Amino acid sequence: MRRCQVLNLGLVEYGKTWEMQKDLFHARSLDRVIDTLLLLQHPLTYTFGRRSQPGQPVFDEEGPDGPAIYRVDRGGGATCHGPGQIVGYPIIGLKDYTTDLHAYLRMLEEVMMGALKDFQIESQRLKGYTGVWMEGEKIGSIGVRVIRGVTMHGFSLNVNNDLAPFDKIVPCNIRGVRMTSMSRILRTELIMSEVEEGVTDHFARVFDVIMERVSNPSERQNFTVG
Amino acid sequence: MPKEVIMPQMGESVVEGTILKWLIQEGQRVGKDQSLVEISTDKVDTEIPSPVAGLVTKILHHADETVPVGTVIVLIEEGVEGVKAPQAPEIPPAGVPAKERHEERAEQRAGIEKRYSPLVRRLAKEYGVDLEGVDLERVQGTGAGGRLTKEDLLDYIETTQKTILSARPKIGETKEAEELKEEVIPVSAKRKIIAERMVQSKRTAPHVTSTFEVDMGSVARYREANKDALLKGQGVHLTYLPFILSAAASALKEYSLLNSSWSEDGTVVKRYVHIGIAVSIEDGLIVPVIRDADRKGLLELAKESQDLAKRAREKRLKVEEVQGGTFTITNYGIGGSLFGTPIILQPQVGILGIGAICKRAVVIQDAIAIRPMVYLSLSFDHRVIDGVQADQFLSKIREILEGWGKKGEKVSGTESGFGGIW
Repeated sequence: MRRCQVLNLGLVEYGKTWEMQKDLFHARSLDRVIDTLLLLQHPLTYTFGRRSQPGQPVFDEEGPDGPAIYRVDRGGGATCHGPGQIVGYPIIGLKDYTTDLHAYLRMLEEVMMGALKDFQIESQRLKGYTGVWMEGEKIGSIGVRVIRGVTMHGFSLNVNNDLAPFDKIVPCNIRGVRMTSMSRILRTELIMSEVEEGVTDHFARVFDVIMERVSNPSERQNFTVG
Repeated sequence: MPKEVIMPQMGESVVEGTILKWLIQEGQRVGKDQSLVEISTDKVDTEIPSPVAGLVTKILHHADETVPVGTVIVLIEEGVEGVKAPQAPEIPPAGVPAKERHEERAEQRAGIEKRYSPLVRRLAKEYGVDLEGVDLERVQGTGAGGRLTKEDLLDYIETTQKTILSARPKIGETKEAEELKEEVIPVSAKRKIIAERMVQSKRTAPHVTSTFEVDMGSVARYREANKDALLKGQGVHLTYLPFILSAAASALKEYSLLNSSWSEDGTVVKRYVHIGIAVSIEDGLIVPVIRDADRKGLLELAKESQDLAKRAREKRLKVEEVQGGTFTITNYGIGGSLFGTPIILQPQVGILGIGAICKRAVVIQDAIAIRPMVYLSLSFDHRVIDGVQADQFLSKIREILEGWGKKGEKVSGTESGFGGIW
């Protein structure tokens, strides 16, 4: 069975993980590292995918204390990350799992939906609107980049995060979309590590891999897979 | 006739794609597999690599346009002094695949320095290439930071070989009057790389070869009973290879040290079984890989090995199809050889050689019988395992092959009445 290492990075700045993603992406392209799933949270950050609609708001609080803003090389439109949201970046050789790019999107949805189900949240897909939905409100978002069969960027699942920052943008290019979170649905604060655990387990199930937790990121395995 | 590059079918439900950004311009030369354009579908961004080397003659759709799958988006005149680009490797997997080399090049092209590794210097000296004179526009370094790698240099040498060779004093010229008794045949880059890999493997791993003799009677009976139906129903030639593939895959599962690699940190045991099959092609060898061979039935193994071998000879393998093998099988019996001592494909631990299957007189329960026999030879890395494990592994293969169809292996009923084993 394939193996995939999981790195729980905690709360990390977006730029730092982007660099890390690029490193892992290169290493994976060269078969110097096995598949990796990064799980983490970002401080308040807005990111704009390549297809973000023009006319996104200008932030007046931009500055040292304002939110971080990145234009990134992933699919999808604008989104927002903040503490209490689980972000997952799979850097995997996709061809080992599927050659269908949309099937990959469905797999990522399935990972989030499985994790939600563990907390009795029966989420749904909405045809034509990639992501995970709960009664018309969006709870999980996806935006990825796949070059020569290797993936980067990934998904984000709203757990305890503040949803107000989403009001400043047009999330995922869907005007008027309402966001929701697990804590809003369950009316309680969740323990992040428990949800992360669920995401990890369901990633293992959906991709049919053995997840190997790497506690200290510097221990990540860099040997060749074949 | 220019090559038409279309918006690819990236997934079953993908009906259209949006052009994000052209990475090339009209009139520009592109190498095979060089990224042409960034595209997007739903929440996925990706790139389209060039199917050929050539000249971009016409860009038909521009950035921000969304076009249906199958739409021609760019025309490339094939071979018009296309930049010599690394092809899909036709050599055993190792080193850096061509595709990724491009990837790195694009990002690290900036800041090329004229620094060369000792290996590149040595090769350059050997071939009389003046490194200072190498036109870096023609020889794009694909190594880290855009540096010239060994492969780049060999590619360059191959394309310019004729001129280089004619610049050297020819044997015939120096011994003008004498009859030409020796001839220098230029070594192709492919041959050169194979040579280096072989030497490197022998130098790295202490090879030991162990040979078992296997009675293929059961397999032969099974094959006779099924091969016609299979050919008629599925168009698959049932050879002996898939049986041995299947047996080896099962044995690899059981003796997983044979499915590992040596590393300084420890032996890396692989939980997946990807078996490479050595296929001889013009001027060399290529080893396409059957992924997850342990999870495939006989029919699937037969189909896949046949397809891979065919496409290997037609040079139509994809890069990823020659990567990631965990064990290799080489079938030199085709040429009549009875047994051999194959060289391990690094970083694997073992390679199984199949000899010719011949009818021989053998003694069975004190009677002489005529049986189709084969010698299976396993070369293994003595750093990782000893003869004991190698022989257990070979015993397992022999047990499976000699008991084929006898011990209630399920022949599941497919339409042709033929199915997978196990």
